[in-house]
Amino acid sequence: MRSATLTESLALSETSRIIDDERRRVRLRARRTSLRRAAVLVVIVVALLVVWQLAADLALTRLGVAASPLSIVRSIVDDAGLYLNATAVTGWVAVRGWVIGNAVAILVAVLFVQIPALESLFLRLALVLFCLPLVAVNPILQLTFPADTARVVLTALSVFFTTLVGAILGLRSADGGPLTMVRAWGGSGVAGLRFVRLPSSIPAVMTGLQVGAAAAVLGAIFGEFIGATRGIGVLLINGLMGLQLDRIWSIAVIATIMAAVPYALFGYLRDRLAPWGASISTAAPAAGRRASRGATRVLRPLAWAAGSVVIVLAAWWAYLAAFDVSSFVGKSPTDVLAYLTSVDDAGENRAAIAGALGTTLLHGGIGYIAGLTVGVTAAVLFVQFPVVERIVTPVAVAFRTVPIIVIIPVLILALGRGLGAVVAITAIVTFFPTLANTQSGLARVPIDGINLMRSYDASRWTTLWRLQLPYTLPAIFASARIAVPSALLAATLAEWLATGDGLGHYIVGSRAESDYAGLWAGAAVLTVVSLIAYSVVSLVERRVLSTYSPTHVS
Amino acid sequence: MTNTARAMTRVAGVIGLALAASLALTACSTDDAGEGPDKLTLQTSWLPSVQFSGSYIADDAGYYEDEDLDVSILPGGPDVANDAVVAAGNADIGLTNADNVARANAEGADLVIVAAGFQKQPFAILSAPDDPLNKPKDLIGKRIGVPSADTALLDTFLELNDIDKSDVTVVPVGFDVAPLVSGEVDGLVAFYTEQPTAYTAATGEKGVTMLVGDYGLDVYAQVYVVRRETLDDPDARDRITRFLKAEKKGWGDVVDDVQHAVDLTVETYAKDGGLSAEQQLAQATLQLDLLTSPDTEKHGLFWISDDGIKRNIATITALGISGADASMFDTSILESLADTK
Repeated sequence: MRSATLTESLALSETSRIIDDERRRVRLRARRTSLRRAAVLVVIVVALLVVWQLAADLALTRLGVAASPLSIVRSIVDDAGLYLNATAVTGWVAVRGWVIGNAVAILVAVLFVQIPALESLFLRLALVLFCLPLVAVNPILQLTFPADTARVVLTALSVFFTTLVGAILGLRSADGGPLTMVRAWGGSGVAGLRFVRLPSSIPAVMTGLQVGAAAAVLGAIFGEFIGATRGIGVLLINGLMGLQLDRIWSIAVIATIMAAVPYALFGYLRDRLAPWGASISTAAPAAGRRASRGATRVLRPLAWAAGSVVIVLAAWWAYLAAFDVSSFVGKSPTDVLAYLTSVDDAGENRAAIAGALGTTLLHGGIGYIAGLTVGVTAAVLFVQFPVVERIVTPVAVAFRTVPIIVIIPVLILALGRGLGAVVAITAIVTFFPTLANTQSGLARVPIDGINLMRSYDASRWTTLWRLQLPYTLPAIFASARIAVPSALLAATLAEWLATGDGLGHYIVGSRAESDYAGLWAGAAVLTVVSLIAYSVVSLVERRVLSTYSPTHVS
Repeated sequence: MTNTARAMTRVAGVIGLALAASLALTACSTDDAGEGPDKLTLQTSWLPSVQFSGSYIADDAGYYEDEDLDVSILPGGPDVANDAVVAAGNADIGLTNADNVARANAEGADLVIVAAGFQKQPFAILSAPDDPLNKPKDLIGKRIGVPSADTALLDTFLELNDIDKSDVTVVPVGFDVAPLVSGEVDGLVAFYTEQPTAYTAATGEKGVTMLVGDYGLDVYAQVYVVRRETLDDPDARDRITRFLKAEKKGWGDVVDDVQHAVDLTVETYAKDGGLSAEQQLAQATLQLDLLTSPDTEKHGLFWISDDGIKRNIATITALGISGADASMFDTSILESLADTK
């Protein structure tokens, strides 16, 4: 009896020693692996920089395409005061716009979730704001507000929608179990909000704040295009005018850092505050509503849609009235309708807009599809071959945060002004979010599922096809949806700055000719088309998800 | 029902509060009214550069102050519609081109040109020295880069010079000189002082410029434009008159001492723009060609002559803009200032 216990306790201490040893070994191995990973990362980054330096020295700088890393560093060091000053000015606009845009977005998200009728009516208005082409919004804001306010409003607008969507999905992510519990215990809607919804929305909100950082820098830089004496945008324009490669590339690097630092910070905060994860990407689409039967199934959404249209038009009129926009510049929905249907040149106007729209759709469409395809493929390759991931990730992270307004000039220098450059630009804005979302979606496939596939001796590709991809579909579609307006926005910017055709050119050309009805009409048509494309993607999303990934719908 | 209504009201209140708070956060205080110099806002047409150095000197040397004016010089930019800023009443006076004024007026604005900063249309066709475009006919069979806003300009230029549009390949470009440097185009619609300077800086060679103004497309540029109602109001008119007096003095200084204008621009008024002093000096020197003319020798800077008005209207009509006539110019202020330099 006694000896048995002794043996047992001996065995126990032996076991615990073994466990301790094992633990230490694992920890050591983990540390070694992470050290090795960091070393590999450094080597890759250095290698990329060396390649860049050589390419620049050998040809790119002479061709007027790219500055070398060393000359960029030299430029930043030599003109440190200038860059610092510009960064502070643009940064301050970005921070204010970011705070206001996010605060309003979170507030509106809470209201939408607590009072669903509001969401049905106003979400489309929010989407319209997101789809509005910056090229057209910028001069209108400039004519409505003092320059500084206009810049902050533009920045807030560029941040608003992604955070709104993230926050809504986050607040809803806890619906079901926990919320029912609060209700069952007699908790009010506010209690549900406080104890369930707000805490569970943290990760999604943090992701929104993170993505918003890049959007805010874009907005703040673009805001300087309406006239400024200081800032990153001013340096960028002057650099372009004088064809100063060092300046343009230094600005691209600085703008990227401006966006990447808060991006990394909020990523870290999210992982600290809410280690349980869940981001915008994997949450279910907002539209999953209770299915109703027969006629109501068609009629109810139609009624809400009609209500939304009325609200959007009312908001349009209200903006013109509330800010007393001069009738020379501010055109109402009826003016736009007249421009397209009843004025003398209405036929020509329609033809011109239709032609420009075709070009923009071509630019946006090719880039969009290419960006999606390559993004998903790259994410899959990363999961299958981690080596690829380690090489590409540093580049991908950098590109994910570069504000497009600084990519465009750099790409024009590199690729010229043809279809190639525009497609590359729209592809880039689609590619990086898709890659990131798909990657995080793939990473969240439950290990049990993978073990099951393994126990059936499924091949790598079967696992991918049968398990990983279906699981990642919601993430892929979420990025596909949000990328629609971004791709069209990028296309119009590129058309203005590079190719001089399409709706981007039409809008700027109308402004240059004081044809404000043309500007509003171009912007309205682009917004409507953008909304339709967004809805089509949502529709496909719902269809596909209801077949392949039932758990993710409603 | 009432519950929803109450919720809605609350929602509206909250949104209103949020909006008010955000606007309060961003708005800057402007209510320091009272005695002091008269306030006046000038909307320039681009980011600060030597192109506006006359105004900088007027400000720096106290010429505005001497006229009891407190002038805010607003920067322009790629996405600024200067005429609209003036038409909408956001600025008292603006800088733009005569043809743009005609366009704005055709669309319902009522703007009047009171002075001509540049006597010549600064648009030019810039080409490389080894493949120069010296006269309009040289454009035949070439690829010409045209920025978004200037397509109509090139079309009219070709038409006026009897060149078939299909004989020229139009390449849409942005506002930088890169396409010409890389050889993507043979010629570029350029701003006389800007792109040629950048071209020289980039290639070390002097590009060839052909001013479109020398071939039938002549309008006054960098004109000072106001709303007609401003001229109808005696006080406002007086402010504009004093402003132009100070402004003329400032630009006179630019003509006398280009280097000072460049220094003041690069070191003070555009100090955060990262401009290159050499490029600015080259620009300022070229700019003298635009500022002065036989008319200005005789009557002083900014002069608008009857012949000039006729030329402008002819060009504007050729550009296909309807409704332009001599009423879009008002030379009475210039005439009252003719003695001062």
